[in-house]
Amino acid sequence: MFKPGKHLVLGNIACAEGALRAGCRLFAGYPITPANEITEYMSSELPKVGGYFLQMEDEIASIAACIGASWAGAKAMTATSGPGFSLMQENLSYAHMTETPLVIVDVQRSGPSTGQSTDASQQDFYQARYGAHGDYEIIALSPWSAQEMFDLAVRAFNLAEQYRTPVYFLPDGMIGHIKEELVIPEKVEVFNRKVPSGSTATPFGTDDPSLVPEMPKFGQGYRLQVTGSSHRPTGVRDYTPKVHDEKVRRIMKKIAQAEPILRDVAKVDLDDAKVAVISFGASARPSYGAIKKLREEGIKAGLLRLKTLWPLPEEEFTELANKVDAILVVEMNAGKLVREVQRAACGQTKIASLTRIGGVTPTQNDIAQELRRIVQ
Amino acid sequence: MKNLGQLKADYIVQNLTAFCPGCGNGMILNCFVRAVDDLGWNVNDMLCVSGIGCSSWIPSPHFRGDTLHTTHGRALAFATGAKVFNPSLKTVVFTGDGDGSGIGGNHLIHAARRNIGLTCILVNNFNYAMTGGQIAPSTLHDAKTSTSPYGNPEQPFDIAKLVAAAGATYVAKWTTNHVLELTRSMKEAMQNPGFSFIEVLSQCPTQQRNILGLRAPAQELPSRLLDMLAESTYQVDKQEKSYVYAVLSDEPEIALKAVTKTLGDSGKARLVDHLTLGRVARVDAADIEAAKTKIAIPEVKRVVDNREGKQEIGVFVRKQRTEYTDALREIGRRARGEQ
Amino acid sequence: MVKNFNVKVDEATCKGCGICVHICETKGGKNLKYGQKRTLLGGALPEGVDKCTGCRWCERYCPDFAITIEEEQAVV
Repeated sequence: MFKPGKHLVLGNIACAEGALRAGCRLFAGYPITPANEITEYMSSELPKVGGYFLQMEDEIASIAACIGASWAGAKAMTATSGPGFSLMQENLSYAHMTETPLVIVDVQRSGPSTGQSTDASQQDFYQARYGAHGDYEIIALSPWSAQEMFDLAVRAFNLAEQYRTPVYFLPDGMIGHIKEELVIPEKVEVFNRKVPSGSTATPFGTDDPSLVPEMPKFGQGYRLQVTGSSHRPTGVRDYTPKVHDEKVRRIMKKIAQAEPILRDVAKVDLDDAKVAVISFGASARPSYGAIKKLREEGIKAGLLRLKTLWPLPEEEFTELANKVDAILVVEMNAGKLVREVQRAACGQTKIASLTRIGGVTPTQNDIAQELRRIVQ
Repeated sequence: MKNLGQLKADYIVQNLTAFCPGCGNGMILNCFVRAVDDLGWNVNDMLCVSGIGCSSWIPSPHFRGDTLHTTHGRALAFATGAKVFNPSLKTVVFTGDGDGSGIGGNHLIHAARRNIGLTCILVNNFNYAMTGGQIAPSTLHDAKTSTSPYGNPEQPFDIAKLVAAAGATYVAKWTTNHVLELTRSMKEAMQNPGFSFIEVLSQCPTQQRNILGLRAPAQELPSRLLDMLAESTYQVDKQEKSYVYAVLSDEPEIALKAVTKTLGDSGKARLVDHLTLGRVARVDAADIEAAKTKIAIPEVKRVVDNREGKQEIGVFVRKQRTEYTDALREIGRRARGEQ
Repeated sequence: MVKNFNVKVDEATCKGCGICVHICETKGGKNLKYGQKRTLLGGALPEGVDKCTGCRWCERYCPDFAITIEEEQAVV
């Protein structure tokens, strides 16, 4: 592990460092490009701090082992890319249903299928949100630099613990492989899950307004019944409509109602903006350059960058739509975030989409050109 | 010695079990709680993990310890994560022939290879029972099931052999009709520091009545299936009485009369259910060669050796090998420079 | 001192599967039989018709934890 201070670090390594500092003590994963640096770093660093590294036989087993370990009390994590992420969906559905804290890193490569295995994309925007079966809400974070790979990884773990939920960490391949300055602080704030205080536990229900139940662990005499089947607050299986409805609505509301707290956006030059870019991750980097360029040309451009990707900051979209003359959504997929922005904007302003697939980020010039076009 | 009522009070949390009448799963649960009780294990230290299928309901919701009911085929992977992080958890995994050797086959062989310190009990009823009796990797060739209406084109695994080859350090195979042996095996398995595997051939009255064509009234069928399981298995080192099977060419009851008549005092014949031969006459005789000659009558299609078409049961593997969580702890020591 | 064994079958959890009756006949004491009574679930309820030998094979085989052999010490 790196000492506090300034370092030149690969994005993936920064992410692993953040995880370790946040208290991650179990990693279960499977080799896949472009996430392997995380896996390899964990294999050498976790044992040093008394944690466990497991290389499992596939991604399905990896996420399963993380869930099992989380219920044994671990802060657990896995790292993968698109194809492996697809394999994990069934067990992720299980993690949502059982409200299991854990962090899933998807260093997005270009698909569909094997695609461009060594190149970047932001294609799993919807796979993270809707990839698993059933109704659920997610928390997803999107870093745009090696520094954010560290900072947001810490935040991911803390949010997983605080909300008792899987948290999706979605860098794209480029951010995973960029080498940049990382400042590691002396201390990192760490949040731990709420544990039961008495001799009994109600693992799947609560009267607390946060809607987050306490989380017991195995081996404490609680006689836990953890199941993916619909269940009562005690964990006992119950398929009746009312019980199922209560459970699923609560786990969704738990996150949806926390959106204002989970919201994390970076606003650049938006106060007086006439045209705005909405973007995230690697796409936001040339977007930043493009709006600065336009400002030099006298056009009032601004950038709204999402760091918390899900839940979406829909209020920000609506507010921006009511303020500016045009919004350009820049993303490295065939057009996903733009659909959400369109929905939230409710026709209040012109929404344009700049998509880039092919494993590369859009260029600053492409974005600036499109901005000039739509501002007319 | 505790009676069954006391064992139930100590270990079972659901009053009425979820299983069909006569299901082998209830019997396996019975053997399991006896094993736990005999070992003197505290349920607070135990974790039972299971997948999806009828046998995955053995621990959850019935057993009084911590239970983790997971996704189809993946129980061993979930259990591995929990056991690695907290090796003091006495972990037992319940799975089925479909859950464990079908969709879960990969996790099964890797758990054995790693020699992760837990016990895996795989209940084999030769089909995907919960979903309606479809073919499974354990279904016999030519069996007619709900997805093999013209006969099963596939051949089954020898699951115990597969797991032994993958590296498990305790491997045994029993049937639900071997309650004493099974309980003893469970105790041995649960005390083995590495990966223990027990395959249990089990009756499923609901599906096997169709798949095996074994029809009987509700209060007789489970017993017939239990007897069939005992009849269709053998232990290699056990002394067998001298007997053969006569595959009959007529209505069993009618053919049996003919066989009995021709045998006279030299032997006994009775009808039994055999897993691969069907309803046949078992002929016990002191002079078996003489009996074989005597029963060469039109009502007997052919005479079959008493081991043919049977499955071997017993304890197959007992060995020692580095256990996975021990190896991980060693890794930790090396990483921290402690030697 | 003579031990008496009493068979108790829980009619709420017995499923009338017949295994105990068969096992008693083949391994035990030929005590358990089916009479007229039914379980709460509608299956055949086994009853002890003779002297139970306390072999407990039925307890070993019962899939439903429904049968219990209780011991009483009868003073001679």
